[in-house]
Amino acid sequence: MRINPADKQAPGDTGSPMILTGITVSPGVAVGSAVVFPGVEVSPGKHGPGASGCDPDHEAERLSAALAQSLNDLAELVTRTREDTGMEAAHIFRSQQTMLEDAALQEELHHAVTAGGHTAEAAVTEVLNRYVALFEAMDSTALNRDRREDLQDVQRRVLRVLQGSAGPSFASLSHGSVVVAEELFPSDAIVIPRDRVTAIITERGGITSHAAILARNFRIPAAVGVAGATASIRPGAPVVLDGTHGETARVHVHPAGATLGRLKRAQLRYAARQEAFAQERDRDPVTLDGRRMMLSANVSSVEEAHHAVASGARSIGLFRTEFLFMQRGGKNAERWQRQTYHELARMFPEAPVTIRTLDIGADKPVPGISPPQEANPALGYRGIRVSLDRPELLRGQLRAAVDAAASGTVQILVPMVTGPQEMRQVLDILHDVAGKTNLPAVGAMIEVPSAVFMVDELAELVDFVSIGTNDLTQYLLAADRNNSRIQQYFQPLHPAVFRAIHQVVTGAHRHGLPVGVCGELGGMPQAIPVLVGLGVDELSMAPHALPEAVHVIRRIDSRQAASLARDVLAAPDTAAVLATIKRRRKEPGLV
Amino acid sequence: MTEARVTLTNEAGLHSRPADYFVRTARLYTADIMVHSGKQSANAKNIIPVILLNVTRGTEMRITAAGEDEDAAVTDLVRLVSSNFTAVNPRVVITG
Repeated sequence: MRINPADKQAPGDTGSPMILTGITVSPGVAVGSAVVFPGVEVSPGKHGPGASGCDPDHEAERLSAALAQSLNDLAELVTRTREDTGMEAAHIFRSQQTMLEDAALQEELHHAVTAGGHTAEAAVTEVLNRYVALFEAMDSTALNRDRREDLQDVQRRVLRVLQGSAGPSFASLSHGSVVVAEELFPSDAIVIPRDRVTAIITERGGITSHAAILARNFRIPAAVGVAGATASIRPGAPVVLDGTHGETARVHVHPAGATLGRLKRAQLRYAARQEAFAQERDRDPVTLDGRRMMLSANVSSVEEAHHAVASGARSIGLFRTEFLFMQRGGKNAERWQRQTYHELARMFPEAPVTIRTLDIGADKPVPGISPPQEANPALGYRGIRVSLDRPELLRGQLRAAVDAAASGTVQILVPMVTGPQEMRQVLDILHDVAGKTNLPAVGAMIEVPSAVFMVDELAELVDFVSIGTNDLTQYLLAADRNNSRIQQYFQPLHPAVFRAIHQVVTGAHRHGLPVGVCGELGGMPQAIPVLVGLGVDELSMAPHALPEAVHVIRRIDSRQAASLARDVLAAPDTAAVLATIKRRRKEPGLV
Repeated sequence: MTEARVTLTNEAGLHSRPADYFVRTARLYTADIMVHSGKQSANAKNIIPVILLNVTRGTEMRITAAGEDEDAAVTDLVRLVSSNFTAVNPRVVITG
């Protein structure tokens, strides 16, 4: 049995434009025509469970031979993958080999055949399905849950050997194929012809799925979690995968001529820009007239911090501690926080690691800590309000951060501050746990409108401020960014946002304090010249945005940027802000 | 019987590659080796139960071994875990 892609679409059959969304696991823009691989179970055929009259000795022999053959194939695959793809990819198949070599598993399979009267196929199907079910029963946040795909991949491999069947046939794919599948297992992904496949789109899978890791290694743009892809994309349909907008991938099916033209231009631009940014990644973020910006990364884990270092980050402007609590729950929280903060401080010996205290609320839940649902969570029990209400949590966080200062430069950032009163309470607790000497720097996050107006009073208490533009925008414009019905009101480039930033910079600089921007605005290429012009000292952003930020900063003259900022501050609405940026970017010293 | 406690400090916990190294290292020894986390235990030589333990970062696990080479086995496994899976026994590194 050979599993072939679904039939080619009849020529002349056109469809109407459609956009599907998913999660980008390998970024880029790719154009091609769809080759659809519907979900194909490897069927045990007539040897399936319940097959009668089978000879146990014969089945045991078939099973042994199939296991030996599969292990042999996997060993070859490990070696070959290490040579043509790399160690990270090779380890995927090596752990599958380790699974299949397992003496206990092999014994269980043999027992099903000899004592259970199963055919070899039935044994492989039933025994491995039992384990797959155990993985699927794991907590949805469990990192190891995704390893289900490896077990299923191993199961499919052995069944195919038993049946003498091949995997999906990629051999006949023509150049410019977009693989659309329900799920792509590592063994199938590794045999994809990389010169002919331009993109991979699957319905199942996550960022940590092994197929995603392989796609990144192949540098083929890929999206997972694209619901309905195999049912709604017809074979042969023209498809463009646009994975250049952060996390969300857009799959354009049958794009209209104008859209296709725009996406093809975006593809060329993306490729050219990536090349240009890569060359500048390690250069200093200094403007044409010699002003040095501090460029930092926003991260949630040590793993992400490593990725940030690889993207050129030299400091952490925002370490979100929520993710740690989400993974671990509150048990032994102080101990593992200490380990994590020390590790981060050691990674950035020269520059600060900014640890934000827990920023949760009913709209940002962490199991076991978050309050129950509230009518108005964004205005409720959230951020520092939770920490001050549960001082044991805050004390643990502060103690861990103070301890980590021994390994590097650690500073503390306090979220959701409305004015000096919360800051005083936090500082009292900090002095209580750490004494009054050798204290780490403490900063207030400016994200509540009242804090913008109270910046002078705050500046007398803290060492730095950092503007959280996502929440600040939501509060200034009274627009929930997650409410799709009012998306047009959530405008990150609204003049009110820039006027608030201007007020914060003016106030903080009066007291000699540095100002950071750690919201998404800080990583937006079109906003960076304005922020530089407003006098912001630090930009902190998602690691992947750093290389482009270096590129932009190195093309800015800060005096020109200041003049641009004045124009933006005078703009009456967002459209005027955008128009001003667009009009002036062609001038020398602006981008 | 030899016993040791070690805390996982690598980001991903006993995930794909670390679990693979761990189990392959255990298989180098003849001793019976168990790994315990919370109330659950798994044979250290069987990768599926070891992955199912889902030992995450910051979790302390207990390794027990019984057999002729139990000391060497526990020493090797503790070194592997406490080095963030960087001190890997050369016999389990992918080569060739």
